[in-house]
Amino acid sequence: MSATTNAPQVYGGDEVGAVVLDAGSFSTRAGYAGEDSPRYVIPSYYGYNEQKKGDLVEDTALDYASITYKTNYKRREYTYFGDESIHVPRSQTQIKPIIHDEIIEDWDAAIEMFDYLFNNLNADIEEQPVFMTEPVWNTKVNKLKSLEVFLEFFKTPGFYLGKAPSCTAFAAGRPNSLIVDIGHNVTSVTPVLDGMCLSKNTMKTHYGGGFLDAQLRCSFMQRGIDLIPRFQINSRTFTKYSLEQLQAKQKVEPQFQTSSLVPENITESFKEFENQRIYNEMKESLIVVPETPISDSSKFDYQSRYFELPNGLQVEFGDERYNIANSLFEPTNFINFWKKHPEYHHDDDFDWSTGENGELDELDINNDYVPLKRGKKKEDTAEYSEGGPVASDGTGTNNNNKPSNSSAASKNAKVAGLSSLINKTISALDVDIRQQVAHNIVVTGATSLVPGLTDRLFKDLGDTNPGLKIRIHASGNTSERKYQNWIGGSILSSLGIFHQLWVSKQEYEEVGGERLITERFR
Amino acid sequence: MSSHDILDVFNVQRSEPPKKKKKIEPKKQLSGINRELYQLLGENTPALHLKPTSKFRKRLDTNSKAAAWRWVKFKNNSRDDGLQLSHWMKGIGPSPEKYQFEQYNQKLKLPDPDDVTYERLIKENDEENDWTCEETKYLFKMCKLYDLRWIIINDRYNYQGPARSLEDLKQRFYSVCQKILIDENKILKEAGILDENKTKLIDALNFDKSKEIDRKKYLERLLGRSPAEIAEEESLVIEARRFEQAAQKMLAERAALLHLLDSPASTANISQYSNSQGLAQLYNSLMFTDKSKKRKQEQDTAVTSSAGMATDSKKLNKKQQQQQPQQSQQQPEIISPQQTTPQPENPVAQLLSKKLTAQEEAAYGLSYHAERLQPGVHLRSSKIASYKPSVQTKVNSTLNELGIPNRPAMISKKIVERFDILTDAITTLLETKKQIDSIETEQNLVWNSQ
Repeated sequence: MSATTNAPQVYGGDEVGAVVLDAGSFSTRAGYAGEDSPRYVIPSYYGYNEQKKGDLVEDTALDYASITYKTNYKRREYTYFGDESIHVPRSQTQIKPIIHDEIIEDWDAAIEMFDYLFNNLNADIEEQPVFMTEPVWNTKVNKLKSLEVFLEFFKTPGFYLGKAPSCTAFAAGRPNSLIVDIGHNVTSVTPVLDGMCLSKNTMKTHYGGGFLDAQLRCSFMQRGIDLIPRFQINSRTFTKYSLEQLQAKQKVEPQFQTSSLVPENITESFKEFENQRIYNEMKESLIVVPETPISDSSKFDYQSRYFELPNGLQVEFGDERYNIANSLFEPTNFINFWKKHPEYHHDDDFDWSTGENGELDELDINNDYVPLKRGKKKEDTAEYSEGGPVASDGTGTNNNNKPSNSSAASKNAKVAGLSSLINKTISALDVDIRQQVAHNIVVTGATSLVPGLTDRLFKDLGDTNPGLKIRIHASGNTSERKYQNWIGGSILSSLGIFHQLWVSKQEYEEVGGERLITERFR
Repeated sequence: MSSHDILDVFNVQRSEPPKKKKKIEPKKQLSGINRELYQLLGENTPALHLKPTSKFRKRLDTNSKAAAWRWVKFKNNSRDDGLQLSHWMKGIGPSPEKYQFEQYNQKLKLPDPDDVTYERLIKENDEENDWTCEETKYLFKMCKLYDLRWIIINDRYNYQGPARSLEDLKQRFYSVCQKILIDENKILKEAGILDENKTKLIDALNFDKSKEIDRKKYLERLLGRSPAEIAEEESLVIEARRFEQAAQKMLAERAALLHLLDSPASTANISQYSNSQGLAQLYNSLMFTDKSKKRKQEQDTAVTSSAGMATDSKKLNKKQQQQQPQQSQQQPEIISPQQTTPQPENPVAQLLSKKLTAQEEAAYGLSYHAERLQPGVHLRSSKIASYKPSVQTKVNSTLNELGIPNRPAMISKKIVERFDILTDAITTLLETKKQIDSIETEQNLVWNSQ
């Protein structure tokens, strides 16, 4: 094999044309292994045309057993995927999410999305293996389903589910690290050791990009501004809406004309989906993480900035710029505000009312877990949330803690901001690896691009962990930060030594999914 | 004689010709601007450091034929399912039998307790009696699956039974391994083959759980220090180091002093000093050197006082040399009118010519001084003695402590005299104190070392 060029020999690369899929709750990335960025980044949502569907037969779950992907599979005519088609305004078309909390919820739509991607990639899926990322908290059912879909339905020769933090660790080139992934739905902190995730030490909250969106929406509600997405606007005149006008309770009416080309019966979910683009723009250009926690916002010295809406209204934002970004670190303020003013809470928003206020989720990773073990885990998290340093001596002798009462007592304390989430994760780790992990904190995910976030994180962590040497690695390259999971998957599945890990169809039939997901997808 | 020759001698066949030894290039140090750029990264060095092999791009070789690349199916023999994937290969030849990367599929060789061995070896006198055979087997399976990465094993360990800590798992694994190995060793001993390494391994498998827990507790405490504690510790370390350095310096000084006392080990013949004449000669020579030293010192102090604050003696000497001819020119002019043509009409001259009593001198403010003064007018304040800057600052601070201004406000002759006495006393006392301090520390040092 002297034939291969020098570079792949050094890194043991051997490309087999694997397709890499990274399905996030906001967007799904797809491309070929060995490339440095995904070829397709499409929203993890799909358009669902109820009008068109109404004419067709009842939409039951597709019977995949009777369909062969290569010969007689066809996407539903009333669903839309990909940027060029999902953003077209159509009447009675709902926008529905495919993925929630990084876990695929709507498999029918997911299969359609994958089909869309494979077609765009020109992939011969029966010849090319598929690598897909999965969150650490992926469910057993979901894992089995993905094995079934890819190996039985798509008939890929090989399939592998790689843990997303492991992929990030690969992309960052740090086998022992703490991966802080601040995505749209979920913010997760995962320790990675030798490229393998520590699932029991993984923590996640819902304070990510979606949480910021909800606050941005709330700030428009407070101003009495009705957000109108760009596609509805034909022409506009610029009008300023400054902070002074807001304080004087002056109402400023935007001056614009709606477009006549837009069809009727545009659904709310489509409007909201289009408004999402405004929020994204605001997150990119408006909000800033303050260097220190804001204790008294009246004394806070801020710089205001105008943001122009599609309808020509130029809205001035003052301390909100900082407060909103600050909520990633101190979510309690905003949640308390919502509790006081439920009228500002949008139903589709960030879901704080159910469960335990979007608090730190106790990870239910291994569903095959026995209750006894999980009881112990609960006790751990409860202890950490009380704020006291817990000696993880790991003797396992103190089983007397009842998880129920302590979790109720520390309900409020459990609302964890980013820094405290990382602190909790680090302090729960084995002492031997704590130093190493603290020295390799990799910050990734698109929401981590909010200016000032890494600086603040560094300051917070340094203050709370004087004994540890904190070092934060955040890629300066925007697309690298956004697609780091995918890039890691691309690296991993283009390695020569990785090809021993693919789960093949034969193996799936012989061994069975149940055993494969515990023994192979480590 | 190379290894090749030796192999020839022993008639060892080798399938492939010996490879040329690759020269291992020493790691090139970055230089110039590259190094500085690299240093800008600080400790945040990239995980991989790629060094470009050549600065220039290879020239496009248009003459040679384009290499053939084929999309070829291959089989990874380290898999048991015969999965066929395809990759690009250069050249037209047949694809190699072995996949290049299959050699990396390695697994640890761990003992594998089955039911029979468990019953036989482990179950009787099992200290950890809450372990079942099933769970032990599960533990070994996990160890194999995760290549003894204990933290990950602990993370994924999921068995319906009592909660296990990392140390529990480790202890169980090592103790069971030890038992199995001892048994294997016994069999080997009976057969007459004893493996040294294995006996060593058995000893190495002693795992002390409580010690491990203690170690982790200590580490935990170390990491859990507060910033104040860390700062205190650091300052203590610095102070300790300073003490050490001072002690070392002291010892070095003492050693030098002792050396001085011993030396010079006279090598010259002492016979010339054995008679009284010789002794007298020695005495005279010593006296002479002593005197010349003293004179030199006096000269120096005179110069410094006359030249004011200047300290550089070389400069001074030069100045003096320049001034001296002037003096010699001027002096006769001044002296001559006084001596040659006395003017008795002038009352001042009359006064001067008269011998004055001490009271009168004091009343008129006249004084005669032994030291030679430069001609011309000068301020008395410039005559106040000054010291080395380091000593001067100490003197000044002492004066401040006493509430005396660094320069007397009313510079009369008496005040300046008393002031000089005072500063002189201060310097002496300071010097004495320094000496005492050093002696005390030395004393402590000697006592401590005893």
